[in-house]
Amino acid sequence: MKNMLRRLTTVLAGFTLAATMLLGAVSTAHAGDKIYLKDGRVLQGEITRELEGSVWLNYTIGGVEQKGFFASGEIDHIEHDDGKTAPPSTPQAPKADTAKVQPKRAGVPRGVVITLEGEVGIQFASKPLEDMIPWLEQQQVDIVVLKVNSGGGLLLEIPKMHKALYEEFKPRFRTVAWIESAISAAAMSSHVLEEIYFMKDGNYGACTGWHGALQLADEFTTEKALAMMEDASAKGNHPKEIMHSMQLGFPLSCNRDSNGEFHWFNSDEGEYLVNPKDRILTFDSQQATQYKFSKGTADNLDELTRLLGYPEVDWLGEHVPGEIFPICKGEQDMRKWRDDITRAEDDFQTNYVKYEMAVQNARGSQDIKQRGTFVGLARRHLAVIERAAKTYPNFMLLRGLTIEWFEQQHQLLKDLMKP
Amino acid sequence: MDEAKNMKQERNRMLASVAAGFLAVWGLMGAAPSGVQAGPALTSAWAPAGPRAAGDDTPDRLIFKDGRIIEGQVLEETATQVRFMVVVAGIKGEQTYSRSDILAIERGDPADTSKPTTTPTTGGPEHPAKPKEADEANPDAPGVYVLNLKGKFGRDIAPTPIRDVVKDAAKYKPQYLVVVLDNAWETQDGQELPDFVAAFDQLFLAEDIEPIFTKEIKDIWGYQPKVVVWVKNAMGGAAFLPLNFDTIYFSSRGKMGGIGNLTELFGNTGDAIVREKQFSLRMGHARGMAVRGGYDTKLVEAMARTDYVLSYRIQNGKPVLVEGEPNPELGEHLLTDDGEGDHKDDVKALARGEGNDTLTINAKLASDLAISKATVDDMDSLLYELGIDRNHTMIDGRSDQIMDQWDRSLASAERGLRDLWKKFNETQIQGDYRQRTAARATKMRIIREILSTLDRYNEVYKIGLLKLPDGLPNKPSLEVLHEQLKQDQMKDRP
Repeated sequence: MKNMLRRLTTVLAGFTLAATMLLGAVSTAHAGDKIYLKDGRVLQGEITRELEGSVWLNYTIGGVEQKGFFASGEIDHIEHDDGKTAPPSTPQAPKADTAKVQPKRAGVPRGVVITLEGEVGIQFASKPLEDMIPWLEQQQVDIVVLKVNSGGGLLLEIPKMHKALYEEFKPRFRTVAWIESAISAAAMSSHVLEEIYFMKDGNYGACTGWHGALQLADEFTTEKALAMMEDASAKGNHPKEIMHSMQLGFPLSCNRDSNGEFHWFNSDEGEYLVNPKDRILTFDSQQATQYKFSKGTADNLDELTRLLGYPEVDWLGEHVPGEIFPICKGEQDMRKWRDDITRAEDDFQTNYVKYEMAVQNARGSQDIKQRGTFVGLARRHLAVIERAAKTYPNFMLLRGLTIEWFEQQHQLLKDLMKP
Repeated sequence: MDEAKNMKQERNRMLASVAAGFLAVWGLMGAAPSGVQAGPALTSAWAPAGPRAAGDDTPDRLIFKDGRIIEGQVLEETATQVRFMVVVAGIKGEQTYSRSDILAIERGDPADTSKPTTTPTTGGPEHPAKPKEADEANPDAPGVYVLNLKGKFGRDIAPTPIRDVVKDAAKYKPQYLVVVLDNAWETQDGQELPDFVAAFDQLFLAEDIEPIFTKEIKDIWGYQPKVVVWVKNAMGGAAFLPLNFDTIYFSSRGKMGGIGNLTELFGNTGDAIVREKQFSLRMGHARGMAVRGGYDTKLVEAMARTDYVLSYRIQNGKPVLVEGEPNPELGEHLLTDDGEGDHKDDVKALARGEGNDTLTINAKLASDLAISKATVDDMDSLLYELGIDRNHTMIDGRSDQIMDQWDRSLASAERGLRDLWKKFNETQIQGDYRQRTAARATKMRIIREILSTLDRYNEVYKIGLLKLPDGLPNKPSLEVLHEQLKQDQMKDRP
């Protein structure tokens, strides 16, 4: 499946590239302002309006006057008629390669808060985290706080999250989890982190794998998940017995030695019974602190800063009303990822039905011109679905859409146009 | 495959009848459903647009990220949406746009129409004006702002009006916010529900409301006021709300409960261990609220789980909760039994509100268990208990008007939906091509208007508490219907 999606990506990327080159070839210089687009095109003309880094440009292509709008995200930089060069002044923080890096204050570490929310494998995913690393490095970030609020998601994303957090983030940054709610795959994803802090009403656990109508995952999948989380527990320096109780309802008890250290058992033999047999463990903030699973409870960034052991942290980002931490560029990007995939998810079903409807109407059209109209409409709807498939492979995987399916649809549309 | 679902998706699936229609659409497509996507908790705070000068005809402009610019008037703004009166060739129409699609809003400035003001949309609605003291307030007296929460939880008691009230209260800088909780515990058609009926999963409605008081208010007001909850009736999801606050008072007839069906939520569906997972994650959320308010989490277990046995004793004047059967030698009393066999509440106990399979907290228990600071039946007594009866300023805010206005707007929206749907069904596609085209255009416009209304009241719609006209399809089906009309028109083209 991965290969299929990779093939789709390659095909689409090739298509996009070809289209871009074609556009670049027919673009002719006019006069005045120049905008350099990230896709390599350079357009010259008159900028009639500029707003937040986006521009409206009057220019000509092949002698035909065009009025175009270019979003800030598409623009690399702008050369004004007066010779001044301006990078796009986007409402978001500057992109990694051009962002201005403020000098660090001596002895004050730099931190960011990044939220992980939504369904694991869909909105809550490793890809946007990995994409963020160059910017974090360029900004000389020392501490990455991952604020988790998720009800779980897909098992298949957990190893990817482990890889991102353990192999990419932990070696580069002090990476900690700040738990508002980490249920199931959200808790399992965070488990490779040693430093876990809770919000006062935080919860963490309930990691039983299931499918369908509350059916337990099959024996092999369950064992694989147990093994994966034993490895994650070791990486995060958490007793494996805790995750066993979160996954499969093993009893959990512990003894506390004279040094205050806990020793754990997946039985009721310990002095403190934390989880009775056949119950699934979910920690609240009190339990997590009491049993030293959490490093502490913080409801705001000041409290978290103290728990992290600093008098002060330079938290990157802008204050946004209603938010309890500054919103940095990395967080903006993460939110955009979630918004975009949520929109794609919301629109998918209607786009699919619209596509099917257009195909049916094309099939039923005797008139070739009318059939062509419906085929065109079907292609437009199919293109939207394909774009989502390319950008969010997990999401499409869940819908059972494959490269073969897309190829069949393209063939079908081609066949429909045969007289 | 592990399919631990997003909590809010589950909530919606269980609470909202719309899910059935949703699944039907998925069935049509032959793809696996992933559930209804819930909006984020902060998506629906309508902020009224600023007042416009009389006769001001400089239009506002919405500048979209795709370069489109439309003119009209901003009616309302939220963190995620902008409601806009579009004016095209003199014809007006109301539309709701997602903020994420908008690059900036240019406001026609009544003071200087030659200089429109442009506001980037990244920060959500404007921060409320810096709070000012009520003119009549005695500067030494603490201000008290009262918020009455009445009606159905999730419908009348919903995030949007509460957020608006909190913004209104911010103007007066009160030290105390008194939340009088008296939710209607009744069926859709208004029949009163007994105590033993339960709605645990309304927990997630409480989770949409609670952050307004515990997280947002500090940022909106610039400080954290003392939030006092006065429980008159807190049944179902409303029972979770007081647990977030350390200062609770009860009225003498006050009740807090109606969440005792956790272990019955899924019946015998699936495997027991997976059901346990579902109970556990829910209890994780519920216990978190009790931790926030400083209450023993055993109370929530006893309120929620039929199989949980809890007793208590008073030791040194303080209640001590003990898991398991009471020990009479220690003067312990049973709060809840395991509900098994002979312990199962009989009809006599249930009819008298005396069942003990799960815990419903009345005023006496609330006092005995130190949940409530005191039992009070009028505002003067409450102020006395707070120690400010002789030194306070009662703020005459707009909370009641805002809550009433919300109720009226819901009722108006429901009437509007009925009228629109009736008109949709009455509009026949017949006659010549021009007439058929006009009829389809009418139907398509009606669908857009219906969708716009459903979006505006999505927080109530998504949990199935917006009264819809019979036969009205859900949102995805309406989108499909719209497309069908569009394609029918294409087919009909001569």
